[in-house]
Amino acid sequence: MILTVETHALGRRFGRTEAVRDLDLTVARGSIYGLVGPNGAGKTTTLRMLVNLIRPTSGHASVLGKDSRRLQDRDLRRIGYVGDPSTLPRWMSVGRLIAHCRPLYPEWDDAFCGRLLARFHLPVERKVGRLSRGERVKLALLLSLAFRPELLVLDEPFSGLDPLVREELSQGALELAIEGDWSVLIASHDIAEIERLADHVGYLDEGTLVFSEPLAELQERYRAVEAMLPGTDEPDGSYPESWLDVERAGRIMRFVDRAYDRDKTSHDLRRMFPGIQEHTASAVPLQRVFLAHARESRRKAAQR
Amino acid sequence: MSDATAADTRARRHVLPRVVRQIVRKDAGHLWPIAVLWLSSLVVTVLAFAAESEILAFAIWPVRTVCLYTLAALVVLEDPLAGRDAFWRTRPISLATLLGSKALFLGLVVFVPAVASEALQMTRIDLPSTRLIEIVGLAALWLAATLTIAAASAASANGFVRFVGFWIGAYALATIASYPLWKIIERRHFLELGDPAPTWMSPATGLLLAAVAIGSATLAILGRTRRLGLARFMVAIPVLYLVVASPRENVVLTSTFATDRSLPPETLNATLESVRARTDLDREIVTATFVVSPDPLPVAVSSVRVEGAIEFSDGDRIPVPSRTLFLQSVQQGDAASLLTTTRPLPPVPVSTVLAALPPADSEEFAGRKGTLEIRVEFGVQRIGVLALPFEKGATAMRQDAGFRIDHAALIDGSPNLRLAITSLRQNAGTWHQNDIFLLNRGLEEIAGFSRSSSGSPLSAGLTIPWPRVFFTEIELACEGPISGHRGRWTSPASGGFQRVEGVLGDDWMGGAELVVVDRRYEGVVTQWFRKEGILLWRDRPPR
Repeated sequence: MILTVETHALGRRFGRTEAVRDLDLTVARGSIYGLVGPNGAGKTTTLRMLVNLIRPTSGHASVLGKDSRRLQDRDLRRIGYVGDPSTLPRWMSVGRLIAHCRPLYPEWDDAFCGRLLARFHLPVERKVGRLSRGERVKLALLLSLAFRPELLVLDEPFSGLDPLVREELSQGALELAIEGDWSVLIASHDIAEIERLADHVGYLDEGTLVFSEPLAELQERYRAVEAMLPGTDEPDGSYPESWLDVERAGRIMRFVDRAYDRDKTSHDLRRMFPGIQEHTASAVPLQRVFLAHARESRRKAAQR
Repeated sequence: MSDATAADTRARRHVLPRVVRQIVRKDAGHLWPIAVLWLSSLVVTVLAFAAESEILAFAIWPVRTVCLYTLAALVVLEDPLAGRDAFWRTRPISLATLLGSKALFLGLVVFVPAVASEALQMTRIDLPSTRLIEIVGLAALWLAATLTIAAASAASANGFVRFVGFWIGAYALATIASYPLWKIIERRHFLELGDPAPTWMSPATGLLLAAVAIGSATLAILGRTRRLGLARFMVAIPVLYLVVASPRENVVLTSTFATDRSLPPETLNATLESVRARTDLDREIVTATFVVSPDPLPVAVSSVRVEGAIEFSDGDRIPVPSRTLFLQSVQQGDAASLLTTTRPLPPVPVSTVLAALPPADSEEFAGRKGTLEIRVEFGVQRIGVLALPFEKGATAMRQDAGFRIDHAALIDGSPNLRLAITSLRQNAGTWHQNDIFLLNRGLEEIAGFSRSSSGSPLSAGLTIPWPRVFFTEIELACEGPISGHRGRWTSPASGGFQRVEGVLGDDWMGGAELVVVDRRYEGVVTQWFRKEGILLWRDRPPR
């Protein structure tokens, strides 16, 4: 497997705050990697370290086979980055900005750029400062796609966009990316979009990568479990570590098991609640996984 | 070399210059209104100089200065260097390419036109080519340093409002920090006694300031943070300014200088003398001879300051131009120089021209009487107030402020001539020029004073290159037998003073007037002014 991004114990500190710590992350060539996590989890910091916008304070990151701290202009010709769209030069028109960026990339694809322009319905004559946020995101995406990068890094591209624009972005850009052999690393709160687009998912919480695996495996491993308890008594002992977001409503208990195995889960349930009957397990949407982890994290923080 | 590598090398070879051009074009496309204003201001400056329009030259100065700093800042802020969010940072633009493009823009739009403008102005005043190159080089260096500092502070500030705030803050810090220094200066008048050649505006200082600016900006850029960089910068520049500016205050006012000591009024004695110089336009030179006695100063003796006014009986009042007398210069009889000695000096009569008067039958002054009151100050200490009768039906000749022709007398009897021209000015320019010549309108001839240490023939115009002028006294002395205006002139220079000697025909001098044209340059901020004064009308030597 050829890795486009590979980090080893990557860390970044801002004063006393450890934004990212000991991050081991890999993004395979041709994959779409979704990085999710609550606010302040370190997603943006991670992406910025990868494109050398900020320097790590520990560890190492390799992007397209090169140390992220030593990325040069020739490397950046292979990396598309969409961050805060407000950094686009406001005084330029859309057409002028495209014309300005075009000579920077020997691989710039005019035909592809034209297709993106049409698909995104961007007004060529309008100044960037007068574009809506959605239009600016689309423009930033266009400027990062038109040279067919080997790695596309998207930082919260769907944030604040209406569903139509999200659909345009998803359909128009990312699916086009899938057509090529590009790698996409996308950090977003929009779990539904990540679930639809990504084939790998990583969950970052308080700067630590909680899990990182193919989406299919994750969906196979995580299950929403529901069981009818024999009574309302508290269980003997604590819940297994793999149970997240345990809820009880009378005799009904629900939780997300992140390492679901029917026999093991049945055994654990019977051990904690003698006399319990069968339980049901269903596939978990990524949104539910995200919420389960977020709540678990909040609960642990409250206990500390 | 593999095909891929070769292709990449070719691509880089072609792409990089193209990227630089691309960025320059982009910046020019955005900043062209300010660039046009800047270039127009340079054209107006050159035209103002050619037309000798002082008002226009001064009026365009703020426009030019604001344009220069604004352009330097905005071109950098087009692609912010510090911080983490600049658009270019995730684009294939290296820092070197970006800096190169910014330097190219500033070079083409700001630097080259400004230097060309300076050179154009200087070529109009017939400077020797070596001197021209030297001055243009110095002006170019300071312009480069100014641009570097402006651009570097903009890079650290990372925003135009912060950039403006930075300069206001830096100026305020420098002002506050230098306040005690200026209090001393104000109290002791010692600017005119000090070393007239401050060292701070030297190439080394320019390079040092630019280096500090670059270093501070580099830290901000590499650290990708602006706050610390800007703070460092804001402190560094005023501190450096004070450090480099301090040597110019290396003045004679040492602790032994008795500025606080009260001196008795009788220290000063003076007599009023009148020297009549008859010409076709009759004039009279009124002089006063001061004797400082008894030896009042067991410490450094420098100068006394004279000022006063003619008070007419009808209430009209004509001020006497103030001037500073340098005792030692009179004692030595030639070049004025400043004293730092702690050795007491013997009482020395000091003679000074107080007024040059128009004809006695002038309608304005015929029959009027008045009193000439003279105040004489030593340092901050007033040491004498004189009230002398003045019954001349004429007025003191008004000289333009800023440049006075103080001393004109024939010495040692006929046919020797001595001219002493004093100019006090406050500037800190890169160079200074005086054109001084005698003009005989009747003969339509000009006799110039040529500065030449090798004794070159007389030529029209005297050029006094003055690389570093702060407060300056220039004394021109012309001594010798008046036998014609041809001859050899020498100008031994010492201590920042020029002395020119030469010969002029006695007959030629009748009705001649002395014209002084003063031009002053301050690096990229070119200023000039012209003062003309009629000094000498004579057809016979004084007794």
